[in-house]
Amino acid sequence: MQPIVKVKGLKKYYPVEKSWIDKLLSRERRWVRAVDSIDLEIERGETFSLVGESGSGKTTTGLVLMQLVEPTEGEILFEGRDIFSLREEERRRLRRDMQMVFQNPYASLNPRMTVEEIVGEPLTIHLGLKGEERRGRVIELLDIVGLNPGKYYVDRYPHEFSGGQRQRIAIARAIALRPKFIVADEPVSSLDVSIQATILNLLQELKREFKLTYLLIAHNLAVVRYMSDKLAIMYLGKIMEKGVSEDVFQNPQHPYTKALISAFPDINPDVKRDRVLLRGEIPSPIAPPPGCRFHTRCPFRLEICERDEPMLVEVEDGHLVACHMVE
Amino acid sequence: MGGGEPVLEVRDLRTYFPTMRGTVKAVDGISFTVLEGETVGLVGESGCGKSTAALSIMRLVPAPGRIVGGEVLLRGRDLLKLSEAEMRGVRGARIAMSFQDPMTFFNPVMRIGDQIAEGIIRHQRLSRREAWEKVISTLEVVGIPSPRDVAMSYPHQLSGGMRQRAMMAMALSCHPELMIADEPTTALDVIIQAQLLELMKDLKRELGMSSLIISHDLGVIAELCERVAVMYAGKIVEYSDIRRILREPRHPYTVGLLESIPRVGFKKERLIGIEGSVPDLIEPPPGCRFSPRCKYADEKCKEDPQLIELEEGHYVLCHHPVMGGG
Amino acid sequence: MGSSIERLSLGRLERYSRGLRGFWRSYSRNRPAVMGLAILFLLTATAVLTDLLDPYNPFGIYPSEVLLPPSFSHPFGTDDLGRDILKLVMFGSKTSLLVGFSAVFIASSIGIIVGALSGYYGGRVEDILMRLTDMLLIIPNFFLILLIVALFGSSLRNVVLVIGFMTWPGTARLLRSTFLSLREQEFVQAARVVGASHLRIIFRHLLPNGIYPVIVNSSLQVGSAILTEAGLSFLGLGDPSLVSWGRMLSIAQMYVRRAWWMAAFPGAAIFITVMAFNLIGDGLNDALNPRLRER
Ligand SMILES: Nc1ncnc2c1ncn2[C@@H]1O[C@H](COP(=O)(O)OP(=O)(O)OP(=O)(O)O)[C@@H](O)[C@H]1O
Ligand SMILES: Nc1ncnc2c1ncn2[C@@H]1O[C@H](COP(=O)(O)OP(=O)(O)OP(=O)(O)O)[C@@H](O)[C@H]1O
Ligand code: SF4
Ligand code: SF4
Ligand SMILES: [Mg+2]
Ligand SMILES: [Mg+2]
Repeated sequence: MQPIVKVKGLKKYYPVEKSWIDKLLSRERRWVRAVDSIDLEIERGETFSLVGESGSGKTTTGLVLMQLVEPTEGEILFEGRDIFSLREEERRRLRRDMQMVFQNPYASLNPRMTVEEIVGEPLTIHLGLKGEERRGRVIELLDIVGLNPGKYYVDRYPHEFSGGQRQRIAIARAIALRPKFIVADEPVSSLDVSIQATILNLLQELKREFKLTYLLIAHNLAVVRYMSDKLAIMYLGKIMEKGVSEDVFQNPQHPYTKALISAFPDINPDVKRDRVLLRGEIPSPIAPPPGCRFHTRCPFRLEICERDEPMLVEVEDGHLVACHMVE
Repeated sequence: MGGGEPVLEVRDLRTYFPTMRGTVKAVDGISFTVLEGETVGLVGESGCGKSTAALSIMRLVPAPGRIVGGEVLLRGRDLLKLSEAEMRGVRGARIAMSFQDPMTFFNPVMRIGDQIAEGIIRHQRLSRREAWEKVISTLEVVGIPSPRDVAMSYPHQLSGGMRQRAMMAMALSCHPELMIADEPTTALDVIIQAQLLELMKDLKRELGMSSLIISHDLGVIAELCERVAVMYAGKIVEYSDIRRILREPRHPYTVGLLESIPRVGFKKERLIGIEGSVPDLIEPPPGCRFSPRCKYADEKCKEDPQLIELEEGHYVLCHHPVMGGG
Repeated sequence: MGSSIERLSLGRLERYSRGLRGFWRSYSRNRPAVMGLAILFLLTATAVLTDLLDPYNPFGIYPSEVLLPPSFSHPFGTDDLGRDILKLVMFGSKTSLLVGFSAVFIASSIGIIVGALSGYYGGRVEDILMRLTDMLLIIPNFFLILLIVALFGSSLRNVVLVIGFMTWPGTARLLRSTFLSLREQEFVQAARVVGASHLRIIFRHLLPNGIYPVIVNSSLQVGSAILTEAGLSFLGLGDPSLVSWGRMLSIAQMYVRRAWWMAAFPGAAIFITVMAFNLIGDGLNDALNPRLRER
């Protein structure tokens, strides 16, 4: 079957502000290579996760998919259609099928709107619902996301809710138009631990009930393992490893993946872990290292790694790795 | 473990913040001890009073806040009874603390090296030059690759991980008897966090220092600590050695917390989580503060539970401790 | 169905009134601001009432009552033409408020549109609009106003228009800078994701969040517009067919030694009015600033 979302050779470079020295010396404009040529295929009904350290380009990928930023290069096909070749009208229509949940529920809800206005906004824009009808639908949606009875909550403002409840409101807004595909950018990372699980469960239930497909962006590997069917590990704008989630967790191939998994503090004090410790920090995406981008921190670096960029190659069925060591 | 003398004993500590809306009982009668050479964890969700507890021990509670009761004994001496001048001799020298947000901790317009040296000069009466030498060697101890450069930098020039290390160097520089680390790794990426956790384990092995680690992440606590106190809404609800708490949690909140945490180690079919939200500390629920979210709550829970010792060294604040949970 | 609609509107109404009550609670904590508001009420009442109640033509000449000092029948004294200063001051309040509010209405309308567009769209639109704004900000305002009024005549309408057109850049800058920071917020992106149009984002999302500093600023601007009008009239460039505190002052100059009251009362009126608007602005700032309001 045709994947619901297909990303081909996607690049997003942000211009770096020129300082006056640069201007004086008329230096060339420099670029932040936030996303540097990635391919993704997301099948209908699955949860696909993007994982990586801060600054690896996860959010940027999500924003491009949601057409909130224009890509520098590359194609995004949604149900086979290139979304950037669509006319304005069709693009807006696409919003009904693609929605997003943001990281910070304290910032993603307009503080001066009531819950009815927030959740009802897509209904007004796309379906022209108003008044009692819209209110009824909003109350239904609130019940669905676990804010019940919904009618008790519709007239309130965001500041009257806790973080978890706000994220529920944001989720209600995202499912209001019965979309097919939702990008969830770190949907639980700003919530308390005991609340996180309830929101993750809600996302799982909604996925089953409404046959949703998710692109989940997260840095917490435990959350990713709990939620996802497939995943891609990103580092400095590139994909290092991707495949079926359990394959990658049980049989990580890329040194960076191994480091990430072993770095995660687990609540089992009896496990003696051999950490793959990395030296140093993530380099700047303005001038990423040549060859393998990971070579400055890689404990297994070979000579070739500093020159040639490794390609993604299939090591087992659908499990791809970009590393010279595994070629 | 076990045999050591207590370095720090906190008894029935209470710290309140009077505000327009009412009094925030941020820390409401907590007690615990840190023994010689031991690492104790204080774990709990945002706003439960962890930082306030630490700041109370240092007597650095911010403005409207006041310590309204209890004792903080450092090797038997009550810090709450010291004069401010005496307390200054304790801070930095005998108890050191690293803060949740290094950016607000460091002075932004002073070189890192000067800031660390300042404490050394004050507490150890060394010359400037000797102090700087010490700064460099301490920065090396905390794994900073080019300590001289870092010492010459200003705080904003360092990455989050480096700042955290520099703060730890500052804390270690005067060989304190007790080190308090408030969320030492929270702002960091997993990879950098792992580096820091390994560093802290090494330091612990080499220096044998007593410390109190504060975190909302049980994983971090599990890696570093021998004993742990679980806080909920201003109170310690369970207190025991870390293995026991992870294997046989007895307080319903601890049980729920453990069931909320997904693990990288294996794929779990379903997480449970705790419904509801953390209570308001101005008007906490009467009786047990966890009762609105607790599935075992009954009539009895409308009364305040008392801390009981279920088995040796395992304390629980609950009317109906869970049996064989977790 | 009917009853639930009722419930809806009741819920709304209650919310608004609660919001209003909250607003008043924090506003009224600022005592001087309450005083400013009281003065404004008094002025408005005077402006309205003089028109309704007073048949006495302020432009009449009463030779028998020229330059009388304050007394029981003329509490503020009379002027060189024998007119009652109290009445003139009352008539003047109408001119001042009219000029102040209309000019600021014009300035705010232009300023809000320009600020919103340049803050929201950025890029080219912003460059051009802000260049224009800067130009207007650099030129000494008062002299330009003076020049224009001198050239095009000094009817009330011209005075209002000219003050309005010269003072919008402040508002535009203010709104632009709030929009610049607001538009990066996640809730604006979220609105885009649900398909909100640009206009909807500007009017439903950005403006309700960014308008408060503008309201505060406008209240201060009313004060300064009143002062500008007084200045113009003082220089003889006000509307000659209206009573204006500025012009009263101007005439009073000639009689300062003989009739201090001719200058003192309109002068005090200007001072008090401008001060009132500043106090109100200060109070609004406290009451509309959510961070201060929480306390
Ligand atoms: N609008 C922008 N202008 C310039 N650079 C940007 C912009 N947005 C993102 N970047 C840069 O692009 C890179 C990738 O950022 P992105 O937000 O996609 O990372 P991320 O993987 O989501 O990280 P995090 O986990 O911190 O959210 C970063 O180096 C970031 O600084
Ligand atoms: N200056 C203050 N004024 C009023 N209340 C305060 C103040 N500082 C803290 N509080 C309140 O005291 C409670 C405990 O705060 P504290 O910072 O100790 O929590 P914490 O457990 O460290 O949380 P976090 O994980 O978010 O750091 C919170 O409810 C907080 O709102
Ligand atoms: S290609 Fe080389 S440097 Fe890159 S991950 Fe593989 S071994 Fe390490
Ligand atoms: S005291 Fe009652 S409500 Fe509180 S945790 Fe125990 S069982 Fe639950
Ligand atoms: Mg991100
Ligand atoms: Mg804290």
